[in-house]
Amino acid sequence: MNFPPGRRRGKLCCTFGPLSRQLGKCFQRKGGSVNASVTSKLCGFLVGLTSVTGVAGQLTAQESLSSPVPSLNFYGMPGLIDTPSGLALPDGELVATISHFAGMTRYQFSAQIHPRIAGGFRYSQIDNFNSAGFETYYDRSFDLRFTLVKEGGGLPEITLGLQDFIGTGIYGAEYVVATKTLSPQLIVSGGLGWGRLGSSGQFSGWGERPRLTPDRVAQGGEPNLDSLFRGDVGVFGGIEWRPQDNLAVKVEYSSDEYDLESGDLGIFDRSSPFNFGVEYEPSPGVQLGAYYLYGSEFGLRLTFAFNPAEPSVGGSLEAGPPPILPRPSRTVSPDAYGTGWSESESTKTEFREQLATELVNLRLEMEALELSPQQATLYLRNTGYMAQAQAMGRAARLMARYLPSSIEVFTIVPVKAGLALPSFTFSRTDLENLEIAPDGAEAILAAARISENAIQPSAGAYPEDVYPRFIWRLGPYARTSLFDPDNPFRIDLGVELGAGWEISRGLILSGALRKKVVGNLDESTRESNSTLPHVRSDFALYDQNADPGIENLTAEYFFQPAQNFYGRMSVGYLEQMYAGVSSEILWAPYDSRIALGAELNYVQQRDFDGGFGLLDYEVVTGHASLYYKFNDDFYGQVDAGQYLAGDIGATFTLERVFANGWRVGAFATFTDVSADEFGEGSFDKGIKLSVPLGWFTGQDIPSVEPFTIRPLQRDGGARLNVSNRLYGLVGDSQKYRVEEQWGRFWR
Amino acid sequence: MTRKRTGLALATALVLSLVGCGNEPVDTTTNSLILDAGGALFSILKRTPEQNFSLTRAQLAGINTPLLWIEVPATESSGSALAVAQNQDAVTWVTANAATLITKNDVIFGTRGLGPDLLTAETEQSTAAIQRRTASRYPKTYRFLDGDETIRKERYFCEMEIDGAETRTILEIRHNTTRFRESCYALKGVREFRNQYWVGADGTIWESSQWISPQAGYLRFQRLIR
Repeated sequence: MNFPPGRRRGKLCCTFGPLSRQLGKCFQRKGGSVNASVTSKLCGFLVGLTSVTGVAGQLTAQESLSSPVPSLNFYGMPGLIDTPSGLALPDGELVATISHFAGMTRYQFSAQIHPRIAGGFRYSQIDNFNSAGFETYYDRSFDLRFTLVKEGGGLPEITLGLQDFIGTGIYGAEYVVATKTLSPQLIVSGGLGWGRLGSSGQFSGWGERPRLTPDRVAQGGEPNLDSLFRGDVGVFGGIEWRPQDNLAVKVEYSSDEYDLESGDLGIFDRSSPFNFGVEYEPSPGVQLGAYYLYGSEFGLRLTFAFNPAEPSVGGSLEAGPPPILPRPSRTVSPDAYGTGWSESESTKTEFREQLATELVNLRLEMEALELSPQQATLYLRNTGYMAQAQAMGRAARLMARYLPSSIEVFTIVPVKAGLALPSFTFSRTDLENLEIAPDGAEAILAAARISENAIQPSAGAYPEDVYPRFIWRLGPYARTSLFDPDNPFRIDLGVELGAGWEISRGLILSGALRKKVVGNLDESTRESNSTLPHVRSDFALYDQNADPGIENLTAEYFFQPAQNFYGRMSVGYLEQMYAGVSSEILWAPYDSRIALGAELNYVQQRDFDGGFGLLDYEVVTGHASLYYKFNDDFYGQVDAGQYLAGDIGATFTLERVFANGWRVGAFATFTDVSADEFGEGSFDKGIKLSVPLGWFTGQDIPSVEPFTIRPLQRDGGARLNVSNRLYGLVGDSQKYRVEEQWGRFWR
Repeated sequence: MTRKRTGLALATALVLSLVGCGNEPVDTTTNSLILDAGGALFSILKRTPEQNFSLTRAQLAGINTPLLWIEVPATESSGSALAVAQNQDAVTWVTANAATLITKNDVIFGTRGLGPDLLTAETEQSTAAIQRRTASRYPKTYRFLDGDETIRKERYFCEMEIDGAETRTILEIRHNTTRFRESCYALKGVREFRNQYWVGADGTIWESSQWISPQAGYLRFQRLIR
């Protein structure tokens, strides 16, 4: 017997969970003489329709909805073995690859963020480096690929690639490569390479390119943008033969001489430019390969590829929504449409409390409910669903079920942190008809009236326990520290106790206390050698000493000064390293590509022990921000202002936001801090990834915090890490986002 | 070393046991995911034997609400479903694990909670052909929710034909039915499927096999109680 995924605390009713109440009420409404014994009989023998999982694996080739993923190379990009190919990954594809040979291991993550643009991040480990002060050398690098020509009509697929173009340059290479799929079994590639891929030097190109030596590597280099496409040119290419769908044999000629590893350091012996390999795909998206490289070494590769647009569970496994029970016909029972109920405050309160309870069963919360004879306005907190449309659709169903028949107009105002977001107004008749119309979702959107006029509810419209409200929560947390050469992966696991006091609309006091249970973050002995104020680079000291530590303790106030304007004030211990005051204002109209914001903070650095103490360092930071929505799923952001170390500059972010909650993006910050002052890495950059855990399980879990991966945490370009920045609260309620998830309204 | 390991195990147990503590009315953390995953793991490890359930007509005595027996062969899952609501001609059926099926005159309009669900299907023409008991041809559009939340429309051209009389036994009761066959062909691509309806003299569909989505394939149901 499969119990439904009820997450309502302590409620595991009979067999239906959230729907059991509806079932009971349904029998009563129908006036049937169903007594308790019959109901229990029903409950007793109803056998679970077990949830459909793993159906995707049963797709036949004909039924398959996904495009095939080309095989990847040792650099985590489409390619042969150690050289790239011209093929692009399917749009939106995310790939994780681990490859290893001759003591060199590469961990990489690549994303086809656009049909023609792919980016990748690599963390490499070279054992037995034994030079320039490194026994094992760790390196971080970024790649970028542009598909210039798509395959078709006789043309091959041609891609231009930049490998390791803003790292230390140990894998630095540029290339142009063309790949032609002669038949489903035979794929041929050939290309020209510069840098590492030009080291075989079939042609001498133009310009100078400094040779990579162990000492240059140790210096930690600068972005080598001015040496792109300079120096010798090499030719590489190969053949991929696929005797069957999930098997491939590859032969390639590599133009990478491995001068550094094979010549200077003697890590392995490159005695031949030919590489051979065999690959197997045990299941869609998983690639395994075994290779013989450079005449002397064996190598292995493992790849996981998946596409956010194609979840393996095939869709949502959440319980179905409560069906709409239409009102009795007006001619048959005109009394049902009477408005006498609206004259009594106590009756209104009863309806309000009942609807509030039913909403919680569906993981939604009522902020307020205004009732009048013909109209009801629900102020809804979407706590349970990733898509605002789904929250509104389910709330509308409950309103149609539980509110008196005389109410014809429903308005739903989404609320976040007390901010009233653009509202949707539906007619009840439309809801009753369109629930069962084939084009129901499109039609209800067309029929809805949207308003940006944020009217706050009257005092009497709030249910009993909304304000003031005290909540607490205890749960696990994980904090990681990546890429320290002494130990590239460190993690702490512990418990976090959080508490919040919502005093009134928009006014929240909250705090969180963390206690580490197990972990190795405190093993870091690395001291910051930054010449800038140590605004972020002393993170190891915080990790070591703040145990237990106050993560944050703040008073926040959210307000709406005018239509489409949102404001925030935060005071207190704002984040792990800073305390002070933060203020922000955002202008974000519903139907606009642009949003503008400004933030001003005054903060003082916190003591390392996670307590109430403060250090001497104080700074004013602030930014003006421009948010822009490009076509499709792309969002850009520019923040210009003063950073924590007093440096002035701007941060550029580009993100792809999928409708199902996945987010992949990259950012870079350029300030008046010179590359020398910044130190290793030269400027702040990184990638952001948001993984909606519900995508894996088919259950809906509202947004997860984005995970930011920085190759290095230094002091230049550092922004305050204050919670609840306004665009994050308001962005999901804007037109493009709401409408792209609208298919969920009737879900 | 053993001490450290025991300490680690205890600590992990402590952390996991605290998952889900709090007084929020709606859990907004990932605690639930951890609990679900833990529960799933636990049940796999516990290896509860498959419940071999056999239903008899006698057990249904005294029950007056419409009841279906549903099977989805592609996933080897089955269960019963109860009618819980009616909106005009659409009936909503609920299964024990809260998945729902919406039918209009017993032609499947939509499913929720199966995973690869059917969002909506046009059923008017299919119903009309069955009610008029004539062969006919008509377009039929199916809508699905993509992995990226877009509504994907698939248009089919369908042909309803009458195969002839057939007796079906549904849980010890024999029904004289007419079998209808609805063959549908995709307007774009090569997909095709065949729905079957066993219709009683009064127009009740006692048994049916209907295609619901590319990944789930067919859904068969039998009407245990009208």
